[in-house]
Amino acid sequence: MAIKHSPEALMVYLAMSLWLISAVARLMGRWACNGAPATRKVLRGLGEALFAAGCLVVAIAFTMRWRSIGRPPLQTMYEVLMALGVAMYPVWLFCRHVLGARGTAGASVIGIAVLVPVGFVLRDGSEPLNPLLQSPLFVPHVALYLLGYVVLILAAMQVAGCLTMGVGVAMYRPDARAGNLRSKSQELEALGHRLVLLGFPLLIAGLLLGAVWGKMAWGDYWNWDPKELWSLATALVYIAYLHFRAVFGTRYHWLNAALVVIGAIALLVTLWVSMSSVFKSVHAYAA
Amino acid sequence: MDKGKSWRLFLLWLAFAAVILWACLSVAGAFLGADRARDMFNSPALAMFWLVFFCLLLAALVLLPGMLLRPGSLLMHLGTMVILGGAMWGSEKGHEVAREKLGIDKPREGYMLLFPGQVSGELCSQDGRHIVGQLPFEVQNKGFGVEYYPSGPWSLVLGFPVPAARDQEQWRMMPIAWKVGQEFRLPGTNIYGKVLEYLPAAAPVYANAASQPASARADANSDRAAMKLALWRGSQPPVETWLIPTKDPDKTGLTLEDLVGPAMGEGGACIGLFRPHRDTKAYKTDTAVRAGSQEMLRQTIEVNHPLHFGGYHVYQMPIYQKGQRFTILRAVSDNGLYAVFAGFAMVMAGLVWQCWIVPVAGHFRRRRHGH
Repeated sequence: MAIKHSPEALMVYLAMSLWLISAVARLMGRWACNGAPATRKVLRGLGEALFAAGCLVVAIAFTMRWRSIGRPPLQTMYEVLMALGVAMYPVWLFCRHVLGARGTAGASVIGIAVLVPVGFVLRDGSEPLNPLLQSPLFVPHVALYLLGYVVLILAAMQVAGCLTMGVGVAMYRPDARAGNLRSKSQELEALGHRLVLLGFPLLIAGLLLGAVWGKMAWGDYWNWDPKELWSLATALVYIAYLHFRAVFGTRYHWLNAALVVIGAIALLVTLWVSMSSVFKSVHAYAA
Repeated sequence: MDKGKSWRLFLLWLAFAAVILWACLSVAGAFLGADRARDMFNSPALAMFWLVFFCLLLAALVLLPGMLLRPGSLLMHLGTMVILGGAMWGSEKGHEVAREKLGIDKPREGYMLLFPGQVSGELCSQDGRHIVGQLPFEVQNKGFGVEYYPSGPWSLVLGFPVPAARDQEQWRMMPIAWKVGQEFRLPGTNIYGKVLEYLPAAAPVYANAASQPASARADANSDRAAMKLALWRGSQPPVETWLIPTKDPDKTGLTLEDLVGPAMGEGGACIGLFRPHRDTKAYKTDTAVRAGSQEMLRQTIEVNHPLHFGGYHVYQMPIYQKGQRFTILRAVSDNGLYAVFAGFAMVMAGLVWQCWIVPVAGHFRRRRHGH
């Protein structure tokens, strides 16, 4: 862990601070102002504005990086996580206003978690693009995966509440409160399902583009690389979830939620594989 | 529950179990590493799994009539079957079956090592130890080259010989921070120096048929740098010299004793100019495809830009060692390629339809009906 002093890094620290204040403001607006709707409205608006401002700051850092290296910065893990940070707010905005997703504070916290390695762990050095990465499929492959990751992590955030409510239902059953919890839990699961329907095709598009790229680069769709296998495992978890839900609907909505969360965990492992020395991968591009 | 419904439910549970098993096998494969994972997934046991999976997909189309009415689901399942079928047809086993049952004798893949001017259609194994087949055409290497990204300035280095075991000599190298016009001291010595001139692209200049260059001149076509140094010991007048690689394109050096006279403790120390690490930008082979004596096609093959001819794609391998003149190409049969790509397109079309278009259309339909 080390503090960086470059203008890019300072922008990242600023964005993290803005998102932290945003999360606190949103949570205060939700919990601490029950009798003051005007104050609650102001705090929630402030939280939203700071979330947007943080995204703008990360976007500026990303643009500075792009200009300094002369190509889209999606090669190293530092650059990929920064790009994830940029995508966070626009994707969240879409999910909230179009799909009805909830939890702006949670989304801010996820954004902070994404930027922590960028700010404190990963080296910010850049390397020229090696011949294997010089493909028109490079940017779409990575970008689709990033968008898919953001949406699916947000989906897991939605259904995480569903799982905790499941514990509540088990404790309060057959009390009337269990009924309230159950219907709220089903609502969250349905929200999560909508986000999975948005994010899953992006994940598969990234996977298939990677296979096409592999074929064009060295003649194989698939190299059985650890990162490829973890990506496949992630996709298969979501396929299992979609099949289960297609058959049983929301009857076992806690199990649906558990599968979405397992998928998000597999997704995080897939991201981590690039930085890990546990797996020897041709995708190990972490700086 | 009627028999049909219980069969369908059984099929769905079987499919669910197969997907979960596949996910677990993928995770296991990730821990095994690429080579062992490849062997595992291509083993006879998993060949059975692929067959069962294919049959499950087929059974879904037969036993779930609702599937045929849902274009998205249909495309996804059919597309997956097409991908599996295409991949099987393009596999080593698929080529064996094609050879035995259909008389199509076509090697699946192989490597070619071609020196400049060499023409060959012979494919060998990855280790180069045996021939695996012959292409229906020949490939000629008309020139192989590696392009590099522009690198930074060359490094000025002080080297001390360090006696190692069995009288073999090793060198302790110390980089010297330099700037044109700035004075520096050579660590561990009483020698001072200054870089008088630096030419990032230079050619040697010889005086009177001498074996060593007397100076250097700028040459935009050269990939070697040159540096003019002034070195002096204590209050002695400075000695000027040029460092420019001649025999070895990546480095050159001069013994300090030859330049500024002997001194205690320096023991053969040298000052050297070293090329910095260069990042590879491209591997390129200018190739000609020949059928007999006729040239059918001329193309520069690069990584991500393979040659496509006669049912094969020929790829540039990103392999190069210093001084290497030959190129290494890999040829892979096109069997199953278009089926796999078609399957990809079907799966994506089905996903977009089922996950995006159907929910959005349903939403607008509900709004129109006031729900």
